[in-house]
Amino acid sequence: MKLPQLMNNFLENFYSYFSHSIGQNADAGGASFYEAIILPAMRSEPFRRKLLDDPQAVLTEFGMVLPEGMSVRFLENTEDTIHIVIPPYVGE
Amino acid sequence: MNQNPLNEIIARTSLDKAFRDEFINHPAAVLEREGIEVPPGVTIKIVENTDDRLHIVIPAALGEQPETWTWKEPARSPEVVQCEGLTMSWDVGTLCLAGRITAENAPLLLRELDTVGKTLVVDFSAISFMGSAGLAVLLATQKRLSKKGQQIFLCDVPEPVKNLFHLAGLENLFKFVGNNMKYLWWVAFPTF
Repeated sequence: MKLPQLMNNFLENFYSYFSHSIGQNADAGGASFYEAIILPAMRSEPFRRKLLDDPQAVLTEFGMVLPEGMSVRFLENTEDTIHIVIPPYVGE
Repeated sequence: MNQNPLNEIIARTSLDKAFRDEFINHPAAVLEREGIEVPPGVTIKIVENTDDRLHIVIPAALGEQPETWTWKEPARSPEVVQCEGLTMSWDVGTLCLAGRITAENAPLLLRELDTVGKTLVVDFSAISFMGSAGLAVLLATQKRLSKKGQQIFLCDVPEPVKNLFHLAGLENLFKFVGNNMKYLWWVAFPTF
């Protein structure tokens, strides 16, 4: 299996749950995080730029509240660059 | 569809330090070893989430129309179960508990945990008391999950409750994590 396909499957799965968890926001007309943020980011270059440059502004508009002290950064996968995000180390 | 091998690799980086370091330094080599083909010319960047920094990746279109992406219903409905002083609710991969875990309601907790076959987080932050019946339930679940290489993470356990684990000599059988895990854990484990 090829990494780009696997990565997209992974992200698709991810955003389904992500949307369920924090995305169903009445302020955004009921649109999920995936519909309101991710799909537009994939389709519209200006929106993607905005998301990469000022993620907090876009998320605030969407009505997403992050835990106190937490910041967020968007990363752009392209045909030749793939970002893999790993969680904090919690082992011994 | 089979489990995405990426899930396993990403999960392992949070628990296995040597593997994590290797993955950060030589991601392509590790992926190839795990049977994932990395096309030539593709650069892989590993980004670490921290307690205060969340990274969100915008997928590449890959010529595949994003419209075809299907919406998957989450495995669990956010229904709240209440019984004998214990309240249970699901927040994606986290089972949030509130109140007291007693011999009366422990069977209910077991029934809830028995529906889970994967690694999960149990949020203890609103638990004021847990007796040995609760401990037995957690132990049974941990045993069952560990056979499949999965486990329970106990999140934000109040000190008095944690003492019970200590007194029973079971502290090392469980992973205790801080409150931030509630927000970050599922980022890496979207398949709950």
